[in-house]
Amino acid sequence: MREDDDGAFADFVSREQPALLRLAVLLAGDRGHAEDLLQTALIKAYRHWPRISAAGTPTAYVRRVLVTSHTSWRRRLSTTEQVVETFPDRADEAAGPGDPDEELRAALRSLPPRMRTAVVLRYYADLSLQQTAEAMGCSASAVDTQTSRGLARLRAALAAPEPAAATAGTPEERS
Amino acid sequence: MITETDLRDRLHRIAEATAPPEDPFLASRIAAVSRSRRRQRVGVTALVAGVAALVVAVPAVLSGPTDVPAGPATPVPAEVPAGVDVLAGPTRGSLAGDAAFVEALRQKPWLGPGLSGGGMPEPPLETRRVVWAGDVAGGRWALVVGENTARPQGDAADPELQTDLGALSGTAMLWFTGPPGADAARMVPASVPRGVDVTRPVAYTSTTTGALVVIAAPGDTVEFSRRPDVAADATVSRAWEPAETVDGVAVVALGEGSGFPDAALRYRVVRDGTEVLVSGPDNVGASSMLDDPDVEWLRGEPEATAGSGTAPLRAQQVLWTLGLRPDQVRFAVVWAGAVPSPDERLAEVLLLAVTLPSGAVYLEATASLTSPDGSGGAAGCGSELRPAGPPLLERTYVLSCSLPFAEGETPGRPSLVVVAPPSAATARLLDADGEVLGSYVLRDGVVVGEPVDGLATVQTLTTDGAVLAETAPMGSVEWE
Repeated sequence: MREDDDGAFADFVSREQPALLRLAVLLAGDRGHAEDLLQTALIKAYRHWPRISAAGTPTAYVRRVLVTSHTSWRRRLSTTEQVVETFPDRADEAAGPGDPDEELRAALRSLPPRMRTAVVLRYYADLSLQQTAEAMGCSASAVDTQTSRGLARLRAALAAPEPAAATAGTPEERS
Repeated sequence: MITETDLRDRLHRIAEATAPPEDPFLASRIAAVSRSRRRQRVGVTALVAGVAALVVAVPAVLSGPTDVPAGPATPVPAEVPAGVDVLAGPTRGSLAGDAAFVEALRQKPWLGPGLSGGGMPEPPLETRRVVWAGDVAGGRWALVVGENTARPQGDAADPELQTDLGALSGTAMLWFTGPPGADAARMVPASVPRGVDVTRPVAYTSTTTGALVVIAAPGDTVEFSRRPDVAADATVSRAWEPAETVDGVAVVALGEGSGFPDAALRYRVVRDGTEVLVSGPDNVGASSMLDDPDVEWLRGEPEATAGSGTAPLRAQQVLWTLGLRPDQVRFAVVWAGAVPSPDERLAEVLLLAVTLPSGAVYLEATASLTSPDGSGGAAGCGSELRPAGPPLLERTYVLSCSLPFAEGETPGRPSLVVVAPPSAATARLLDADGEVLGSYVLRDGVVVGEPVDGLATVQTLTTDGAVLAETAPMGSVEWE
């Protein structure tokens, strides 16, 4: 890759990294997987950077790889291409038991991956049904179903006296 | 009860609070890793849309990696058969009787200078065994399994959180390949070692030589389908060809391949008359992207923009998804232009029409946002299959897109785009009961406006009020 392409790639990573990490952490459920997902997507983007950047689609490309890497049952294969040990240590868990949103975070993590993805893309990323379907590689009706079920599960988990779905932390506040 | 608005707000707070810290050296680290791996001539990729076929680059055939999104995901609709270990038993295949070859293959290391780290398994020698070894079109392949020494720990070991259930398996697998007649010394790892669900048949193909190997359980039968077929009436089907299956293994010569990603190939496994799996094989051999297919601009090629620049890439992805060659289809951009933007960025929509061999037309719309500095992104905002029929310029198209996508902070800005023949003067927006919700005046048959709630169809009319067409907004095609 040419030097100016390297520079453009660095600019892209610098500019988009925060937003992509936020999306990744909601999809993956924890910091470590979020880093893995983003690194996977960026490695792929780097390999084809001249072409992807020329097409004006790097953000969409990386975002789509985030989603598909997360929802794919082959995710482990796609992430193993990283040389993980060259990256920094993973951050500590951020949201502790005292975090007011920890209950929702735990409930979100309890959702099956595709259901969680649909909820995150619809309610965090503000994607339309069709856009979510495109990103997930499924039909809009499937997205609608996953989103509805996901929302219902979240509501049930947040309303439950003892949210058994919680897999991390200890909820202290309920909606 | 949590409201949708509350959910949005709280998701944003969680994302802010829990996202990993930025790594200021991330770009340089990735560049270094990529260069290192390129030097080692080993690439590993996952084809998109997320989930489709896997492209595993082999040192002997690779000139570069090729992981580019290639359309909708590979479906895995069938139920996984329970209780049948498809990788069990003595070595199968045409080379199974060559004890020296099999033993030498079993002893070959899984990891090395070109492939290491990343939590990949390397089974102890005493746990390894050769499941299958045989000659295939253009080479010699083998599948070796052993103890999965890289099973995930912590949260990742929770099946509810783990997205690759194969990773939790106690068995890992690795494909080896070599040239025709290769001895064990010339066989090299051709895939990434990974945990594998032993109840799920596995398959491997070369997009260069056209070899396909499917490993199922003894007694199973295997069929394969090269691509989805879209008939002139826009119905989609697949032709399934039987594969000779010996001891549950099918070795197929598909014919010399293009060398490019093939997301269209599927295999299915039938056991006791019941379909137990339909999937796409892992594959090897892709070396570069296709040349840009020719694309016709039906309303004139606009000034080059990021949005108009997406046409060749989208065209390539359609070819991969459908398993077609460029000379089998015709690409045309029906319309491309600006739409209302949520902010200072340029928002554009491009409608690509692909005329398939049967004459049926596949439509795909892409919306893009481009910042003043040239950065941006794009995403699909609708697709549709239409029967063969009138010329593209005589058809009517309705798109409902919303920008931006996956950014979270910015409210979406929806657009309605109606593209009709120039003789259409008015677009009338109708609800499901046929009630008029509003109308737009068309200019040269086109209008970019705002959708209205309850919109079901758009009626286009001539200046004297004659109805030309009634068209629903494009939906989303899910390729099987």
